[in-house]
Amino acid sequence: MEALATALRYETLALLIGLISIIGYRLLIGKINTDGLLKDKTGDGKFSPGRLQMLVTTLSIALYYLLMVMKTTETGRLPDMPTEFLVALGGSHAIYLGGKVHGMLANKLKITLSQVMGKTKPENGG
Amino acid sequence: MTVTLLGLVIGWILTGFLGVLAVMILIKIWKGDIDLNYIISDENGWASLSRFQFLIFTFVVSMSLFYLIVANAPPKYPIIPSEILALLGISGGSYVLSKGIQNSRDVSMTAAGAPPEQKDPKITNTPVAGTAETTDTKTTTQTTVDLSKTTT
Repeated sequence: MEALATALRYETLALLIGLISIIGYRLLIGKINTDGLLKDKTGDGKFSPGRLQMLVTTLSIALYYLLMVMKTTETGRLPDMPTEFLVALGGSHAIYLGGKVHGMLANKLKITLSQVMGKTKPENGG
Repeated sequence: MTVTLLGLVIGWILTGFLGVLAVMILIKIWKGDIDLNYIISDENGWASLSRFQFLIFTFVVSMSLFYLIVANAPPKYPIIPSEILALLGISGGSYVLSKGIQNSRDVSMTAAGAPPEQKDPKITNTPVAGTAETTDTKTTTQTTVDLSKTTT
């Protein structure tokens, strides 16, 4: 039974490490598409600070949690995530989504304005 | 005694099956048969931050689970606190909301006659048999044959 548990343990470890290594390596060398990761797609398509802050928040929280897991002494449960981090993540997402909504509304306004201008121009000309 | 032996045999069979499956998946990913080029991209071909976040959190939670299961003697599944579920919930909820916003924007742009920009597919992995190009050609040929049959 012990040998079975050990085999399963190494098997799962190998799969996890293999997957993470391949995906991490491909991300680093650019074989996994990362074009536009920090660009605002709903707005003007330029660099988006909202996306950058969400990326940094995500990576920080992920790293912090991994360190918490490695340091934990209670192995019967995953360590509790501090509420402050959840609030920070929620705020980060709110900023990101707010930026998206702003971009979308600006886009709609631009389209509406161009339509109105397009309709009024011939009338003025005629 | 017989039941224990049966349990052991089934356990080894399952372990062997999972091992072969894991090796096959890893080899196929490495060779490019399982294409991960667009693992964090949206349907327009642009990289999606929400998908990237999902990927990071998935790896973090799976690694943490594995570590804690192994750290227990005998191995047992740890309790998952509600904060972790909230973390994944925030991430997932934000993804759904952002998709809604993006679709709303795409619909309004398409309705106005200026559909959103779509990226050309970029093949970055090792080309494999049955790539998009080959499949398209086959499909086109098949469609042509079918149409000609229908016409005749």
